[in-house]
Amino acid sequence: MKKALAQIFSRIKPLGILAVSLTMIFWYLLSVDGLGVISAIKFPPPSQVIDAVEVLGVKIGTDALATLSRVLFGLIVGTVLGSIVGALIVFSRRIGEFLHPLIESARPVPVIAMIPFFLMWFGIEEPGKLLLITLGVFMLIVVNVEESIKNVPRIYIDAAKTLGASKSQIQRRIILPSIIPNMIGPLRVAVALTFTLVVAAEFMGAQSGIGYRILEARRLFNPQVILLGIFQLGILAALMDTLLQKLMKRLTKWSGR
Amino acid sequence: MVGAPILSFKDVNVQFSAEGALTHALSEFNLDIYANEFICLVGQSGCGKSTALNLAAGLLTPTSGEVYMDGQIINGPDSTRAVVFQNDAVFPWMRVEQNIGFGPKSQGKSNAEVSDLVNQYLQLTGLQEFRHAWPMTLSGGMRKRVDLARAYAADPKILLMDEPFGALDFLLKENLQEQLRKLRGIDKRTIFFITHDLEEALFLGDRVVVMTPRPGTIAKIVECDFGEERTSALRTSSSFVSLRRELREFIGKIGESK
Repeated sequence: MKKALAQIFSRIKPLGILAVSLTMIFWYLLSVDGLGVISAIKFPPPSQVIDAVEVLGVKIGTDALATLSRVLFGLIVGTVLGSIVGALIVFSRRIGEFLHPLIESARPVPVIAMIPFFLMWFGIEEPGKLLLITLGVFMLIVVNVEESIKNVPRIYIDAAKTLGASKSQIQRRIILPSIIPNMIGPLRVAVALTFTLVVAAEFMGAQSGIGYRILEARRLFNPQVILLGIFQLGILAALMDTLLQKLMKRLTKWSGR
Repeated sequence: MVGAPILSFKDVNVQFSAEGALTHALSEFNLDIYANEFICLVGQSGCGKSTALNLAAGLLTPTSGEVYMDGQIINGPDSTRAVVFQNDAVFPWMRVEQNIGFGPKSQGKSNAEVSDLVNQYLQLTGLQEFRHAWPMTLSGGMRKRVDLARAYAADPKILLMDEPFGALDFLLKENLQEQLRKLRGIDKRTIFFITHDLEEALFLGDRVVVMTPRPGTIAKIVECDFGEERTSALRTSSSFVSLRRELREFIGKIGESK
């Protein structure tokens, strides 16, 4: 965690710091803290956001933890299931023929459209939220694993066969490692997607989480808490993305990325 | 040639249909390959020589006729016939030693046997220093050596080589040809070698098979009695040069008559 944070900061260059500083100054000047161009109700000033941090206290941590655990669950379970199903579709002609039209027609449908059903089935309990996030990641991963496997160069598979590898050895020792570089992009997209879905899931009703806090703040008319939640989401998503990239870099040392 | 051939093509025909057009790649192709010989198949691009190799590997099935390995019809690829392809087929996600150990490990050999084979072929190909290297960090010529070592370590009865040095520059190519011939002094394995380079075929082969242009069939088989040990001096020797000239003229004639 510390290392990942250090890495985020080590990648920041002077021009980047300038951009962030200018935005902050701009925000400060426009807000009631500065020239007061925008009212505090429409866009809260920095001072109020800092106050919100003090008022919320530990809730900032517990909200972040609740949201992050949902994100991690959806990412891990969705990726594992999506990879298994994507691989089955390619490796077994029958499973492929069976699942292909189903997945292809379900895939373009935004999972968010399913929220009313999830509310009916699970209420505001945890399973509905986890299912929503997992399903979104699953659909993204299935198709990408499928395409990546189809793109494994034929020559590696032929070479492995003539060296005496069985079908399962080819799957484990040739196909699996060779698709990993192709999966970095889709996994990064999946991280961004989980943050969208987790907020949607928490909007549909929750007792914890950043999305829940934002919705509550809207009801209580606390725009500074909404803005704080947005900052929290941004930081967490950037952190996750960095951790993912670090992990993938370790797994693809051989490719010299 | 004594005894039964280990690999044999019997009346093999291969036709492909690509984009509606029918291509006759091999026609009435008959060839017997005997144990411990180094046989080179030489022909122009597109004459069906790679098709012949893919049939031998079991990566392709003939339209008619049969290909036998030890008297059995070939049914799919297996480790009795390891292939070195023209393109780089070294697995980039495995270190050099894992690449070389891939064959024996896949065949279920014990760890001790795998590491013995790996060490043996690392040494024979002069790759000891690079055993822990990632293939990406090696040059094209080095990767080819990894590819050769990997094919040998799989302990095939016959090694199939599909223009393995085709993509390398001429110095590297000559160097690897000499090393391959030297390796044969230690490990006299049957090799079926495909090339479009006449000099390469004559330098390496005990027998050289000349193919006609498409549809590929055998035009001539030549014995190359240049001995077991072959060095770069052979390339400029008068017997080598005259055989090369003779075959060059022959290939020119079959090209015209087609």
